[in-house]
Amino acid sequence: MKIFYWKSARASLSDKNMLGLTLFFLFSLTYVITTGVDHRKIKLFLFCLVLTIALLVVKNIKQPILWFLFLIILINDLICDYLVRANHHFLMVYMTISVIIFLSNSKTVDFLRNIQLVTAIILFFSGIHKLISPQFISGDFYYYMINTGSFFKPILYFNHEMNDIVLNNKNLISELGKEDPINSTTITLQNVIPNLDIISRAFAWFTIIIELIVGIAIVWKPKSVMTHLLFIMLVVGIFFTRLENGFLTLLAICGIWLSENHKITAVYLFLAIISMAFVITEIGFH
Amino acid sequence: MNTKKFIVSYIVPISALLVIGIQFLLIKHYKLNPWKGGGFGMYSQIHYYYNDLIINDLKKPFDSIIKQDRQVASFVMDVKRTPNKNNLKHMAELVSQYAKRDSITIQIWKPSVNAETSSYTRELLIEYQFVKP
Repeated sequence: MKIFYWKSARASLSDKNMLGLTLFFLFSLTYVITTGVDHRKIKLFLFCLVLTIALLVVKNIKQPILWFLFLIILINDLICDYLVRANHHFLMVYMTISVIIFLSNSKTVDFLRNIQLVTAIILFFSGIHKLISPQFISGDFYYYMINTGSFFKPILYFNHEMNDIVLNNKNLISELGKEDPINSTTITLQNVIPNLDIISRAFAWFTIIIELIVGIAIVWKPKSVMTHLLFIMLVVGIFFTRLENGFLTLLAICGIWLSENHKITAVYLFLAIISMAFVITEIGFH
Repeated sequence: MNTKKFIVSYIVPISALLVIGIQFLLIKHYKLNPWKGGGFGMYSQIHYYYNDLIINDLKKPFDSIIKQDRQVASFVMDVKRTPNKNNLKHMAELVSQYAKRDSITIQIWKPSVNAETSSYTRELLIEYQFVKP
């Protein structure tokens, strides 16, 4: 008895447009459920509509109507809470519009150009925002995040010494929070590892450089294996720094659409599935 | 290239750039925090959640007002996210009913970290003086 049909798995990997579309459909459903707290009734109503239409009537996720319904849900959130929505909510809107255009005119070139430019724009401007933030380029932001356990959280489960330092720093900040800030009290944070100030600054500049380089590389050489290896490195890097899995799933899906190499597609697929599982289990952020 | 073809080819990246442009304007003129507004400025600075909103001269502590008044509670995060004069004024008007005095002062403080000296303190981001009409 066979337990895995490699032939059909290979066929799925080679149809990367459909693979990405299926993953994006699954993620869109996941996203609607996990963000269902706000405007719950309208969202869940549309969600049921999407699922019922998908399963019973059209039986095909290539029907634009499904994506229009997702777009209505996403736009509804933007209209109600434009300034509250996460950045990847905007990315989902761009991806959904790209999918709708693709399903209407079937032009892969246009679709891939849209995905390519949007991915490049978000990475590039993410780098620009960091570059113009004094708190970021000085390394102060990373220093704070690492010393308060907001980054590299899994390490704290294994290293009790580091965990104790983090807890102590958080207690100090919490105690300070009870004071009137007019007193201008300053506390001294303890470093989880030696020379964290230098490491934080180096890590900050490394992040900016990688984001800008990957952003430019996706426009300049979108098919190059090197571009995709850098992009994968960025996605994996974010994964280990902070569990922003909703955003990472979307980046990995964009990677699937943009890559032309089966092995690279398989890596993106793996990252997308793992990230989506983290979102569903709420281990990571949606 | 005709208009329809241009729209189909570039509407998505143009929309993304437009949203980013609007976000930069909102940051400059509306004091929007870069984390929000769709400009992909997340993780470029400490999250506004950690800003402190301090209201002086209240009859009772601010925490108990938040528990009691849902409108004030939901507006706290908005003020932290966009700490401009208009929002502070609106907040002052909402909480003025709980104030004992004729004027109240609202301040937003943000965390200030210095990696070289390992120090953490808070610095004043904006202050607003409200006088009861």
